[in-house]
Amino acid sequence: MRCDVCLILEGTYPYVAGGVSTWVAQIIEYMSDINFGIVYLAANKREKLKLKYDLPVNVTEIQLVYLHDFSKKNTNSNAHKLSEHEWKDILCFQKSIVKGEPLDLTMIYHIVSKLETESEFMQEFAYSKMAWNTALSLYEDFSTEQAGFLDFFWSYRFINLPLMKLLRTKIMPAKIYHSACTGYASTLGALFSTITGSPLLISEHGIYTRERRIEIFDADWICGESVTPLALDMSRKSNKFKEWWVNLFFSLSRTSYNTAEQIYSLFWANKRDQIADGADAERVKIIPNGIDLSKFLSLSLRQRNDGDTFVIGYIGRIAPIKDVKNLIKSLDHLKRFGVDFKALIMGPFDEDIEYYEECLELVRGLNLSADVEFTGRVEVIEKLGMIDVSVISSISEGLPFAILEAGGAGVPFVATDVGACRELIEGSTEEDISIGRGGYVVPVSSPKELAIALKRIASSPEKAHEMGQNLRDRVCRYYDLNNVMEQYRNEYRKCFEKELMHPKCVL
Amino acid sequence: MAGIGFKLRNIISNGTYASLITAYVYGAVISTGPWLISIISIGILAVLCHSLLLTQESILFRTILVYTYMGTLIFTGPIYMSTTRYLADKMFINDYSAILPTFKFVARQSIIYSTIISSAFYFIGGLQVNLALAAIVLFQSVALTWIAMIFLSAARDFTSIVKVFGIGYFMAIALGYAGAYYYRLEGILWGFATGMMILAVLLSSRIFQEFPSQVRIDKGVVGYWKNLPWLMLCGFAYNSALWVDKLIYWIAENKKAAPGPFYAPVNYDTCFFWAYVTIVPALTVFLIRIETSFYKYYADYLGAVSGGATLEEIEEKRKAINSNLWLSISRLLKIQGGLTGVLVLIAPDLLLYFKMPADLIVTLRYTFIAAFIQALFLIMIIVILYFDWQRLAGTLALLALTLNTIFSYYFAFYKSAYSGIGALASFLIALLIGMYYFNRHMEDLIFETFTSQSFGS
Repeated sequence: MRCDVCLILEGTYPYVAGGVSTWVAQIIEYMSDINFGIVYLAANKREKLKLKYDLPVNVTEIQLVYLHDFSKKNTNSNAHKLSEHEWKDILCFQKSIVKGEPLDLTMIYHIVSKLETESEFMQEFAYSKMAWNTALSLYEDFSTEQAGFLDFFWSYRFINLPLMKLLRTKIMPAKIYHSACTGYASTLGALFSTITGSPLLISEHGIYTRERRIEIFDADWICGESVTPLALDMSRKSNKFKEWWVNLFFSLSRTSYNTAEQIYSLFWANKRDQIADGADAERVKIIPNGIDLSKFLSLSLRQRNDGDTFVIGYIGRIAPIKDVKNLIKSLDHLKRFGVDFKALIMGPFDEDIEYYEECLELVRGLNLSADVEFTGRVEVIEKLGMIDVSVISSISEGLPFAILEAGGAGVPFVATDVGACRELIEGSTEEDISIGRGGYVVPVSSPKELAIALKRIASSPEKAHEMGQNLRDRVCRYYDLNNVMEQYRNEYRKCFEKELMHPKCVL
Repeated sequence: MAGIGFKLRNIISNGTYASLITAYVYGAVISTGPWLISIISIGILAVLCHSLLLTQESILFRTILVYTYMGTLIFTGPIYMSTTRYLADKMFINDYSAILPTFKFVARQSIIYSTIISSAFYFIGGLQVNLALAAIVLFQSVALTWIAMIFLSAARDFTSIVKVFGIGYFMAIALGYAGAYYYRLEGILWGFATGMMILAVLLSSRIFQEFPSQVRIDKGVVGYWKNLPWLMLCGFAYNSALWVDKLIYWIAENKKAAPGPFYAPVNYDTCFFWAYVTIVPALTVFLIRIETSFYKYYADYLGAVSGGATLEEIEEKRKAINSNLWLSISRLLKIQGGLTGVLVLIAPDLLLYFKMPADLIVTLRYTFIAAFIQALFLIMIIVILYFDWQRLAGTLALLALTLNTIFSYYFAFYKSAYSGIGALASFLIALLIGMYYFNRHMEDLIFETFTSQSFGS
């Protein structure tokens, strides 16, 4: 059966909780009259996937695709199913990846489709002499760098094999393909879209290529102790491998942007980045995140009088990208400014226990143990009524639900200048700005600036109240879930109508 | 943040590379000393007892001895290969506590199966009960001796092994002589078997001393027996290939040592026996050279692979292995080839000196050359196993067995004047085919090293 919308997801709903997952859940729930199929990209079967959401009845199908499940070599035959000519095409394709160019997905699709079973595929692409020779041809591009061959070889395998596997995925027939990020997900969407003729929509919350780039260049795990001597060591000799990885994701984004009918971005800064990465400006549209205001508007806020302890709330994961250490350091400054405060750091810490422990250590080291409390995972709405200001100190963000929710409740906000934080707190258009500021935006990794902003809010409860109201007004006007969902419904409707007028061939 | 798919860390932290250190070579080196001791002891015993036994008794004793050595070597061949591999893997992860419990298990299995095999043969063959019982004890003991050698190779304590062998064979000679003196054939057989049993017990107790362990029994090796079919085949086929021509010549000459399937050894064996003695020194030297020099080059190669060398550097190391190997072989060809050449030339004088029939001249010359070829074949198999190309090793051993069976049958029954040429030709063909494929694998070494790396966890 052909579903209305095929969502192509990786690392999110329904198996991982987070911002994008919330958004996907909202879409599915809100559009209960539309059937959704899900293609979920996972690493491998050993990674046990557990549903984090109850699947609504309008999710008709889930197809799991494992990109890093590689079968062992099980034959000794060196038989080749693919011709020399096809391998030449594959080499061209792989060279495009090295350069970060857009990719010819259908060409590879037709080639990999010739390999019927998983073991045939692996024999050809991982263990055959042709694959080896192709890798050697590609290695010539790296020869000027004195690149270690082992590092090259593993990069080669892990850059190319998952992608080849991806392009073997069984096509899920649908009227619309909609991916919640670029990368592998949108690439699969681009392939499905090209083969079936149904349009591809891409909603990008962060900027996938930039996130990967941070991850790759910031990769301290690369030379960590846990890495075995034979493992990939990108830090040594050459950065060419890191570039290669970055270019892979760049290739994937560009390929997807080229195919997509519409690209949605949450806020202005992201739209600008997408265009810089090759997206056609005409096709990029901003649809922000939204929250269900009814839950927040009735919330009673804490009334702070002069002399009461100032309560600061951080709501979010404890993870390096959130730079919680920056916040802790700023609290040290705040204490030295003489502000009597209590900080609640609320959110799950199981994602990166090591980082969490480093944070605890920092709190102890700065003698803040009495002032800072780590609560673990919390019910957000309850806690918003107990704090005077909400804060995030991330080095990277999309459009954070934390600010929308604080705004819904009328709590002022202090955030670092990343993602949509400035747009949310100060406004973007003229009309938006005229509402007034909902708090302060401070530079990234500047604990002192952050402390000064917090102190300003602490010193004037009236001003703080006013900023909370401003933030609430802004959220009500632009970030109401009903509004946002209506916009998506319209987008879907346009696609459906187009198809009615020009019926496409169905697989 | 949006759709963070997979942590790259998970992708890459799996550079598990099954580095492999094999003990095949040690096993082979270490076996030659005891082998020489065995041969010499049996010779001494034969001379000592010459006047104490009737000719027919003497022939039957020799027949049982030869059957025992043939049977135990073929029987333990597959176990030898796979168990060596298991121990090498265990020692690679420094798990020495597994050695003794594995020995207990393998020894138990060996005793059970060697009892079944030898009982079936001797009883169905119709040997007198008291002789059969002694022959069975002998078979179990010698089999256990080979098994114990596998484990003692792990200790790499060459001198103590040789000492124990010396003591064991001294006992065997003394008891055999005493037995022959009082009870003739029965006596010598029981005496010799008892000596072998003492040797097996002494070797086993060395293992208990060397590798104390709390674990009672370790059956992990069974998995290797099941999962390494080519290695098992190689062990079986190689040892069978070495014996099948002898067996065929016994049947062809049809001299019976006793009623039933007890064919007496013939002159053909005697020639091969002396031919083997001539290659032992050179073989030992070469095997030690492999262990020291070849291994170093191979380790260098693996070091370059894992140390992040460029492809060109890795290729150089690969070539270095190859040239080192050929250097060793060319030396062997010169030294052993020269020795064998001289032996072929002076063969008539040797026959005269050792008072052997003059018509053996052709056979003796063929067997000198055949023994040399077989030594080269063994070296090739060992090197192939060093690279862990089990399938190739197994196939080549099977090829040698098949060819030797066909050729020896043809020459034994139809061209008896050319005795020995069958074994020579079959091993020569297997050697040449093997070298062709070995070279091809060697050319592809880097390809195989990399593509065989597992994707890990």
